[in-house]
Amino acid sequence: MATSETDVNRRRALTQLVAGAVGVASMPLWVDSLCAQARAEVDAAQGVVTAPTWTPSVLTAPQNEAVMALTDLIIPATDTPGAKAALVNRFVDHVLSTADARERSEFIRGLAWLDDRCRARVGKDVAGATAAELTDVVTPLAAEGAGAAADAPGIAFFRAIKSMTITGYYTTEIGLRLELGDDGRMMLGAFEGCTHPEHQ
Amino acid sequence: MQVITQPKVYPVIVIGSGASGGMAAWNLTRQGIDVVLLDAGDKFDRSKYWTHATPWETQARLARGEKPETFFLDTTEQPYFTPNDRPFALTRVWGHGGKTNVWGRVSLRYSDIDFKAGDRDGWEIPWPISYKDIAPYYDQVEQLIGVNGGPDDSDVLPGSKYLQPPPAPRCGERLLQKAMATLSIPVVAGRRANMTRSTNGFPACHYCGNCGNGCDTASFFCSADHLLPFAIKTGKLELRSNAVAARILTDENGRATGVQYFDRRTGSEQQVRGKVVVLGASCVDSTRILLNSKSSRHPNGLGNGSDVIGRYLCEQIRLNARGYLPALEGTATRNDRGIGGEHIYMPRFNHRPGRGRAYLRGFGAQFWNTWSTWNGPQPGSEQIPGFGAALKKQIKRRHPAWFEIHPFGEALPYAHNRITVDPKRVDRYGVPQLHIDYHIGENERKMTEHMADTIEEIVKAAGGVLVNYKRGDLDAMGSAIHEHGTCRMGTDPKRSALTAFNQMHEVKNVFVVDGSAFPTATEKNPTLTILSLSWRATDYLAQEMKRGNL
Repeated sequence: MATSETDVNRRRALTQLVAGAVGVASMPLWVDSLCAQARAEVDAAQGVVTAPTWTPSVLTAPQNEAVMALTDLIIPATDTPGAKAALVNRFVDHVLSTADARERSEFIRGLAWLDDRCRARVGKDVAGATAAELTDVVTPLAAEGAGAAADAPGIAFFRAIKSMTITGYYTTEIGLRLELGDDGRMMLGAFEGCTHPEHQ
Repeated sequence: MQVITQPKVYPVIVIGSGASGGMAAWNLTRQGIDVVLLDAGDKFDRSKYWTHATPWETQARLARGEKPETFFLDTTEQPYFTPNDRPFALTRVWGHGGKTNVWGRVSLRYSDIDFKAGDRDGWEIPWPISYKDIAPYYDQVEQLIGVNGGPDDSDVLPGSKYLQPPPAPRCGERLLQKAMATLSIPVVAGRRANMTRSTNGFPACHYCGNCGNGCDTASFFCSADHLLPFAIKTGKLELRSNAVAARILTDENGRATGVQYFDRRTGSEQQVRGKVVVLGASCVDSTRILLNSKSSRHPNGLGNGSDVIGRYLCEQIRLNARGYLPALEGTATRNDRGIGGEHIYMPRFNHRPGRGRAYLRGFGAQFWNTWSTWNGPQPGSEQIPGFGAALKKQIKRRHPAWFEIHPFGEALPYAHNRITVDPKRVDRYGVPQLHIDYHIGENERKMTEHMADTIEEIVKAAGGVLVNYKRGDLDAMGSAIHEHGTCRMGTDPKRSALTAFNQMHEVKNVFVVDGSAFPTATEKNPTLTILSLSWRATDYLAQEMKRGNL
C-alpha cells in the first residue's frame, strides 16, 4: 500500500537534515555520526541516565568531571536548571557506550586535546578550571567560521559535545517543560491553533 | 520439512491486513463471503501504546524497564537488496493493520488531473478509470474512516463534501499561508484521517500529537481498529497471524488454487486453498509474492506474461527545507501537538496558466515541524552559534519560530525502475528475496528545481530565514513510503497486469488491491485511494462470485 508520511520517516528526514546541518565543510565524519547516534539513543539512554545509582561506563572519573563542566558551560543554569542538573553527562556517557569504537576514541581524544589546551592556557585541566576560564578557552573553538587550523581537533570536539548536550538537555523534563515551557498536556478537548490577532 | 495441506477450500484468501487487504476482508465478509486473511505479523498490543505519555513520562517508563510497542519490520529478519550505489529506504510493518497503525494519515483524493495524466502527456499508460468511477467510493471511505479538511475544493483536490472540520492552523502555518496567498500559490486546510468529531462509535482526536506511536483510542483510521474487528464480528473471517505468504499456488491451467505461507514463529510451511486470492501485502511485498509464484504456466511470475510486474516502480521524490520566522521569535511556546501532522497543504499548481515548466506531472507540499516541538529540541537548534546562557536564551526564543517545507513530487514510471527476486539470496524460509533498483531521471531533476524555487519564494515572502539549506538535496529514495506501479492496472494486457477492477488479466481469480496497482505515483499520499480502489475491486469480486464467474 504505502502509507502516507509516517513518523519514522519524518524522523529519518530530520536526522538527515540535522546530520547535514552539523557537517560544516571541514567537520570530520565522526562528529556527524556521533551526533546522530545521540539523537537515536535518547529513549534508550533513559534507563541508564535516571538510575538511582550511576557510574560511568566509558568515561573515567576525571573525564566525567570534564564532561559535566563542559555540558554545563554549553547549557548553564539560569532561571532554570542547566545541563548538569539534567544529568546530561550521563547521557553523553551512554551515547559513547553505544557508539562505534572509532567515534568513541575520537571523542575521548578531543577531550584530551581540550584538557591540554586548558592546561596550556590557564594551568588547569577542564574539570579544574572555573567557568570563566573555560569560557576563554572554548570561545575560539565555538566561533562561527573556519577557525584556526591548529584548533581543528578542538573545534570538532566542541561541535560534537554541543550537539549531544542540546539533544540530551532538551529531551528532559527540565529542558522541555521548565526551560522551553511546554505544558505537557497530552489530551485536549479542542485545539485552538494560533490565536494571535497579528498573525490572522 | 512436513508440509501440511489443509483440505478446506475458502471462497477467498486475502493476503495482508493493512489498508488494502483489511478493506478487502471487511467488504467481502460483510457481503456474506467467507474469507481467510493471512497477515505476516500479529496483533499489536494497544496497552503498550504510549500515546499519552509526555517525553519525561516515556523516559520514566523506559527507566523502569517497560517497553513500548514496536511496529517496524527489522531488516535483519527480512532483508532486501539494492545496487550499492542506489540505496532505497524501504519501510515495512508486518502485523494486523500494517502501516495504517502508524501512517501519516494525509488523505487527498486524486482527480482527473491525476487519472488522465498519461492521456494528456503520453508518458506510459493512463489509468483505466477516471474520477467519476472512484468518487462514490471516496465518499464512502471518507464517511467510514473520518477525514478532516476544508471546503476548499479545486481541480486538484475535489470532493470535500464529507470532510470533518479541520483543526486551526498553528502560528507558523498561518504566516506561511499568508505569504503563499501573496504569491498566488494555493494553500488549503490539510486533509487528514484524524477524526475531529466522534465517528462510528470511535472518540474524536484528543490532540496528543503522538500518532506515530499508534493511537490507543483509535481516533485515526487504522485497519486493525476500524475494519478487522467488524469483519470478525460477521463470523465470516478467519484471521491467521504470523502467516508469511510466499507464493500463490496454481493448477495446470494456471489458475490460482491457494497460497503457500510460512509460520513466522516456527518456520513451518503451510498451505491454504481458496477459489480466489486477493493480494494486499503492500506494493513491494505483493510484487515479491507474484514474482516468486513461478510455474510452467507462469514462468516469469504469476500473471506476468507481459513482463510488466516488478517494473515501473514509482516512488515520490521529496525535498526538505527548514528555517525560522523572525516574527515568531520570542513568542511563548505553545501546545502545538494538534493532529500530529501539519494543518495546511499546498496543492499542486504547475498546471495553472503561466505556472508551468518544462517537465511532466507536478508536486505538492507538506509542512510538518512548523510548530513548537514537544518531544525534543528543534532540529535547527544546534545551528545557533555560541554556547552558554546566550545560546540557551536563543534556543528558547527561536523554539516557536521554526518552520519546514516538504515538497512531494511525482516520479514518472520507468521500465528500468524495478523490483526483482534473487533466487541466489533466500530468506529464512528459503524464499527468494527482494532486489530494488530505483533511480530518478531528468524529469524529476527539473521538477526538483521548481520545488526549490517554490520553497525559496515562499520563504522570502514570509520573511523567513532558511537554515542549513541545501538546494535540491533530495531525500533518500524510498523515504516517501509511497511505492507504486509494479503490478499496474490498465486496459491493454500487453502493457498492464490488472484490469480496471484490479483483476489479473492473465489469472482471473487473482486480484491485487494495494499501491502496486497504481499506474502512476501522483504527488499525493495514496492510502485514501488504496482504500477506495480495494472497496471497488471487492464489490466487483463479490458480484462476479454471485454471478458464478469466479
